Amino acid sequence: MSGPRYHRPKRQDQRLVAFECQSCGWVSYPERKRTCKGCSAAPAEYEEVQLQERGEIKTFVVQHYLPDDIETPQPVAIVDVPQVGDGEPARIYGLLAESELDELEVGREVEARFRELFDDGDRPINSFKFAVPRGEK
Amino acid sequence: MRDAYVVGAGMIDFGELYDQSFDDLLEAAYLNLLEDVDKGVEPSDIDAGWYGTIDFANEGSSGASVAHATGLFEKPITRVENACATGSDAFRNASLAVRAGEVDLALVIGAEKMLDDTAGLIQGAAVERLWRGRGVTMPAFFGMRATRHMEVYGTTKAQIAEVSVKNHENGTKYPHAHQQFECTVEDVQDSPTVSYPLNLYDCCPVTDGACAVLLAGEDVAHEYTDEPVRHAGWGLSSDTFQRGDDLALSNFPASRHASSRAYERSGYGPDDVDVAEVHDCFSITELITYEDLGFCGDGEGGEFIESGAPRLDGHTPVNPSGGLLSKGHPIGATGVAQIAEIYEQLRDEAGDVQVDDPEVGLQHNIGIGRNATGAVSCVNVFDRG
Amino acid sequence: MVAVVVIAGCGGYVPLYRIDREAIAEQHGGRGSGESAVPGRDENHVTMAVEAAELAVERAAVDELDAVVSASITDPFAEHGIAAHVAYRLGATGEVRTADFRASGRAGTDALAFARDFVRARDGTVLVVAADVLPVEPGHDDEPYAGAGAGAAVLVPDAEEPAATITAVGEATTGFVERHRLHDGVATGGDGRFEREAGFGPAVSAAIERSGVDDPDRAVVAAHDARMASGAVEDASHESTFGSVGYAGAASYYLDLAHCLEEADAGESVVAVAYGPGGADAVALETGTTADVGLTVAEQLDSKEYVTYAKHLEYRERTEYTGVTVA
Repeated sequence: MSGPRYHRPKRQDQRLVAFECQSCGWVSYPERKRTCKGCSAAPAEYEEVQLQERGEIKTFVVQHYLPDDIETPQPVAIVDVPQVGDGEPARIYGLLAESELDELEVGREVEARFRELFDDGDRPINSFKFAVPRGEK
Repeated sequence: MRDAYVVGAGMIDFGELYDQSFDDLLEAAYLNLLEDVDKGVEPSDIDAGWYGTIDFANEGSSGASVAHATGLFEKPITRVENACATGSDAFRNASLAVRAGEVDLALVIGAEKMLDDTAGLIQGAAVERLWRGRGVTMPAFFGMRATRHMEVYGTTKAQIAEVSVKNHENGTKYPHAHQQFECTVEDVQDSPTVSYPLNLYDCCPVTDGACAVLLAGEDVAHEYTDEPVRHAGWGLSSDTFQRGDDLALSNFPASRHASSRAYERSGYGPDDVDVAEVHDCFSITELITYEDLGFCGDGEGGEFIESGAPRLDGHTPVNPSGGLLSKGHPIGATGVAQIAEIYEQLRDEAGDVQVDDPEVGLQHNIGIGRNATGAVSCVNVFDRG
Repeated sequence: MVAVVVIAGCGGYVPLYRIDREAIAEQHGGRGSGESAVPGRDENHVTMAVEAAELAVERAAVDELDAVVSASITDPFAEHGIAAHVAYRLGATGEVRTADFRASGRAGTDALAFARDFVRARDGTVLVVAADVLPVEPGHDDEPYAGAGAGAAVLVPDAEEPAATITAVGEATTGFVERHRLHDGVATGGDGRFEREAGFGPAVSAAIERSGVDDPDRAVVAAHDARMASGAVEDASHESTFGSVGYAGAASYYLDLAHCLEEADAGESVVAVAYGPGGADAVALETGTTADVGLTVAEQLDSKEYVTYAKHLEYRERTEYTGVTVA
């Protein structure tokens, strides 16, 4: 395990900074890219955008068999995370925390929650998971 | 450019082959292939080899491993890895070389030793890279398509289970299949949840296996058999859900791109396909593949399986071999074994799973890479030449 | 020099999970009442601190922070800290002071007093945040009361609608240190009566007296022993989360303070005391208005899921990862 791997994307991982292609509007997260998955521009021009601390579930599963260090049942979703302001959302995987199968559905709004994802030796690597809003629990 | 023909296939019984090493699997498939060629073949006639494996067993398996297992030294042997499309892409590469006229006779061999260390199947989800599939196992990746398909199209869990029921029934009639049992929709739904909405019987087993086929240029094919099977068209494509296309949440655009190219190259369309071996790593994968290959319209996969169309006696038989669901999915071997089955089908040699006089066959894989966000699909189309 | 310092916003964070103290009594005998907060398996000091800090900053409606100060008595790291991680998450990097206070239940007020002095000296904006997860030893007397949580406050020289105004801080260092705990261990407390008479009583009464508070409407008294704390301030309504959260170290002070300010009407007088090894501090406050943003402590206390005794133990342990690296 090495420090640079987690240092490089730290702004994305901890501050939800993303990158918007200036020719097609596609949003890259967390990769800071110079080519575009949306329009294949190369080089593409990107500008930083800020993602909101919430998202919408596009689809999901609830997993029952995972490595021991990931608690089960563990829901995982594909989540659209909107930008602050106008523009396309980033479409990413999101691990769901504190969320049960019967609380989940396609289209459901989830909150981004700062959580420990794993560790780098002794040091926790913290970033975002998603959860059904605490106020609804 | 000349056409490439399949002139032989060597399949081994897939299963939990604890008594066979990686080398043993390769050797067995190779020997079965040599024996299968109608008019015989001398190893010295083989000009080159393409080897498909993801090297799940982590043995550093390269082209040289095939030379060691078969004795085919001093020949160019290339290892190909392309996720679940590994075997079919190895075949595609071999075919391109044959078509180009650089190679007259090409060995395509795929093998995977899945059971020497099964921990990797689950442990892969412990990937220590944020946003690139941590916590996403294979059942999760495909299961997400099921959730979305059910939401968008009203597909039911019972319809998805029907795929598993069909393929297990076929598998009991196919001697090389790993799982030899039939099950009902209730059995599927009562089996343990692996990754909601998929249950255990919605998932293919963990299986060792190998398979080899022989490809020849059209001018030499008849030296080996009077009934060669023509490689009529191919397509290979990649995609990721991250691009933002909603279709990628319920289906696989990569399968659509790959099959469109294969249809275009072969001159056939989905209605011309008489038999198909498609990628059913999970029941849902086959259901959405019906749509992606154009066997039915978008969202009609559930009705398609319910109608009986993909059954052995249906309009478009799919996975007569039992598919990955009952045959098993030794990744590097999978695509090659599907091609071997199409070869048998188009020669009317498929025994209890023979469909009625097929003229055109299709083989399809859809897979994901280690980062679990993208998909790659390979489609090959065959005819009787 | 700034004369008055206000709390522009504050907020608490209580994890979703709880252990019913009865469930602990069932394992080890005795009786239990109330419950204690259990952190999620994927929560740590920094993530909990961030939850509280974000709420406090949002309520305070401040744009920039000049200092981030943390308090924790259970942060597992000897070097690593909490403040710098919270500062990064909140975008407070660059010319920003950080400090991590620890080693006594009084760390919460150590941090608050430092923050107040910083604001007065430099006319800046300071975030104070506390997070703790008390370790447990199965069967130990403290097990039912081992809590977890976080709390935060943003201090500024002035605000249009502050959550509270700090009118004075009374300090009482006595040097009385009975309760002690090694890293990764549980605390040794000694004789409770002795502590109350020789430690808690003299320190708390001196601190309150020095704060100049007279007959407050509400009191917050954070200490590891709830019985000792209750009734420490005569005739005041004691605001405490101990019965629902347990003892959450330095975080208890901020949780209780946030709870108090959320519940109080504007214009009430409050004394907020923290006691720990070495002494006590009493902060005198006049309440203002807490912005109606996010979840109150009371709402978070209601939003809960009970875990089994086994999970209560497991969740407090550090997760052992067996990851796969991707080249």
